Amino acid sequence: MAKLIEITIDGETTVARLHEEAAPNAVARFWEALPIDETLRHVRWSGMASYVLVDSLRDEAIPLENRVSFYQPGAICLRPEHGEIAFSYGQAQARDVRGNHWAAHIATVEGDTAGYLKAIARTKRGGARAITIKRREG
Amino acid sequence: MSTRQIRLRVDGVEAVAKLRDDLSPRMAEAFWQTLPVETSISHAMWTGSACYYYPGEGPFTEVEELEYPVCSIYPGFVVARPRGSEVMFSYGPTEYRWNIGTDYLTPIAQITDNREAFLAVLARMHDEGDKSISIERAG
Repeated sequence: MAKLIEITIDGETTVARLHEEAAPNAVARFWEALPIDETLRHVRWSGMASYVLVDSLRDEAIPLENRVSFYQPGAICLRPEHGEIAFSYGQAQARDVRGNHWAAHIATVEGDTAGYLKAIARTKRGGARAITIKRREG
Repeated sequence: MSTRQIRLRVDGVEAVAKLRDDLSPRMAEAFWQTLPVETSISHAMWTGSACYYYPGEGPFTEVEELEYPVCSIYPGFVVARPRGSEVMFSYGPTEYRWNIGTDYLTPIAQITDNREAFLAVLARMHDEGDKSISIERAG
């Protein structure tokens, strides 16, 4: 059965499907890291996305499976060199001060995503806020 | 001509900057003509450690060419795009970029007084979101 996660921001909960077949190792490490209670901040280099930093996922041994550089809206991507999980709400790319990079595309939100994308976008002008990511049981 | 100065204020923290007429006389003059400014400032999302506002219609729109083009913006510099589309303040590592890559701007001013405290306020915007900024002539 597919692994699902629940993401809660500003009281709004959305479901995302993990890409186990395309990114088995990266997804397994992410699954082990759950639940995550962190501060969601808007990216400074990567465009229309926000991110959290998770210490246990800062590990360059995590492979860049299902590799992407550009993030589509609703994508959830992991950059192991920073332990960064990025949540895109528009056009975005794995970037930092050194230039363009790669990430493992580990999950994509499902269903009615409008409220979720707006919640992510609110970090741009409204500042950081809490995010909770947990396994969806059942 | 003596160096022209401006006073900037964000979140109750004030700084003084000198106009860089020596580098960019046309753009610096256009900026001077827009003052005083009271507006909202936001954090950049492609450029790194920088904040910006949109000056809108006014003298900036008449300057259509870059002067002294730069893409790396050093902390404490105030820069602007031709045609008045953006005024930006760097507080840390910054390279001017859009979704399609690197772009260039013109330096128009450089913070000289209370620099560290002012840059710290700009840095806080990453966590705290938009703030108001006021800019006025200071002689």
